[in-house]
Amino acid sequence: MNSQKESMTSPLARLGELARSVGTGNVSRAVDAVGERRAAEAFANRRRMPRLQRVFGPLTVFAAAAAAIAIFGLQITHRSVSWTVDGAPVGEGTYISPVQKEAAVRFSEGSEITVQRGSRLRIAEAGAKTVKAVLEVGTSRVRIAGASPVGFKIEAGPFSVSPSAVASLMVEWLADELLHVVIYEGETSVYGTPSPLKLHAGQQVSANARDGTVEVGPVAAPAILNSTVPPEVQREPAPPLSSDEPAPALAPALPSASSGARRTSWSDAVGAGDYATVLRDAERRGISSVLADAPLADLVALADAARLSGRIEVGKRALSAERTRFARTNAAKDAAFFLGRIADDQEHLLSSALTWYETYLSEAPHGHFAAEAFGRKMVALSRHSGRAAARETAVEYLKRYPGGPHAAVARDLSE
Amino acid sequence: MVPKLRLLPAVGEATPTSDTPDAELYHRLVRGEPRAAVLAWRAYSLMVRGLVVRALGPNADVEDRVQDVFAVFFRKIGALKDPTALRSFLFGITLREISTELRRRRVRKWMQLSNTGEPVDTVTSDDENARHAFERLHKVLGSLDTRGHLAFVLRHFEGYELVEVAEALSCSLATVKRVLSAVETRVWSLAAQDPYLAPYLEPKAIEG
Repeated sequence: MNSQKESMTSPLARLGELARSVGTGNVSRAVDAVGERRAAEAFANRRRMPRLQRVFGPLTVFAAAAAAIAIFGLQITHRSVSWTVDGAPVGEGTYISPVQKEAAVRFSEGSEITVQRGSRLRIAEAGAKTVKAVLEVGTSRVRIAGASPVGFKIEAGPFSVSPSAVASLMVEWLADELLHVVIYEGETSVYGTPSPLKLHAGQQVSANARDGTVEVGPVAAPAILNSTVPPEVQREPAPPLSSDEPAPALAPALPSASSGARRTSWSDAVGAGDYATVLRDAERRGISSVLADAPLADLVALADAARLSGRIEVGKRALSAERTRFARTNAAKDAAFFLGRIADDQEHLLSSALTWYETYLSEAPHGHFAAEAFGRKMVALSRHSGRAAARETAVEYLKRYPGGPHAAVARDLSE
Repeated sequence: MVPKLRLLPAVGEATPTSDTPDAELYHRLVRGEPRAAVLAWRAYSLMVRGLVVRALGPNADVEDRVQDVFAVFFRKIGALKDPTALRSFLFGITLREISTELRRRRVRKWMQLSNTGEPVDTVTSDDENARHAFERLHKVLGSLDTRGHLAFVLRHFEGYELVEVAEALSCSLATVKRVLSAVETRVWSLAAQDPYLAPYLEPKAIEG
């Protein structure tokens, strides 16, 4: 018995090693940032409730809660904020993606969001107390009117930017991972960073969702991450170039390795908005050769640079190479989502987009882009096959993501 | 990966740190300082999440369970009298939440309710075999009762001594020994029949 027990002990210890090696508890920075924000909110909410419970008896608490629910119910049907886009009324959830010139979203209480051309934003929610805008890509300038009764929240990936009353700021969200906020007037809180930030006029912050880097500094200091969207991204799409043609010189070249200066990585170049250098380097080496040999980080950077420069074919090839060569990685799973977005937004191939969104959701059902992929799948399905076909997906979306960026569209489709 | 926070000259907040001693963090939480929750998260979320995913397996709503733990922790922090026992207080809450979830699973299984939770991407190994083995191991653990499951996890995953396991489960040392003896035999028997787990039981460690 004892020898049998002893023989069992070490193998069971190896099962323990298996559990510790696979279940480390580590998650991506983006997931951790979301968790941190939820925990901070839970802490703030927990502080309010105990005082109420101490002062009032249980029955009064119940009555107050019932009244609050009734008031909330009235508020969600009584929308006090309306808005127009360039003067015309637009429904909640409609994408605002100006091509020729910037688009002005004006709210009835006086605030304004200006969406730069080449960018993509939608008003996900406009209640009596909160307006939530989702910046999917690009740049928007936000001006909050004095004494606005409404709280504004601009969401970009895992980050959330909440300006105070009387504020003027710029919010940029690039390559699905880079947030840049510049505060010109008033105060703004930024959530989703390792710790929430409160910024004042004259400050700027750059945050990378992928590696958790956050940099805060004055607006006057030279920004490490380029604060403006390269004008090339804002132009109308250039005539398609073959992948063998050199890209036009769009930005000053970064120091080359041969000069003895430290070579800037492609990831850093994308982070700085210098997509042209990445594309030029790749073409100098030969796109096919890069796709076959480059490490994953470079493939990811090339895919991002290509997508954001309108070089769709190169972008697709780079994303496909990620999936082929690094099949089990999170980047490869994310690539399925980006391929869906290209098919959806640039190629307008809804069938293909649906296939890619479903691929992503089956590979990474709780991945960083899961809510976005599910919402986009729902929208694509409604456009491809009609509202009835999307209803079940809409109902499922509301179950999974009741407060998600596509919740308003889902509610509409589920009726 | 450790997040990098760099402040350019003269402005910005102080660099957040996860080195806050337990007692100082306790006092901040009790005073209700807004940043205390963030400091607590940065200090303990990895510990909590690791225990949750090792105890409940990959097919669990890990992030939601972690949030449940922190919600209870924040609500009950005032009940803790010894500030230096903050970590073990949180550990105890985590264990209770895990126990509740295990009981919930038994009810769902008994009532044949489908588990709507989908696999969570919290397992970090690139070794496909190890990931499968981990999933299979949790299927085996799913056949144990709640106390046996927790005793096995604490003893063999977390490396606790028998006395510590007894304290964590609020039972006697004799009971823990009896429970562990039964579950170890069962886990061994089921794992030996599983093609992914059997290699871990190979006789290279046979002694005596």
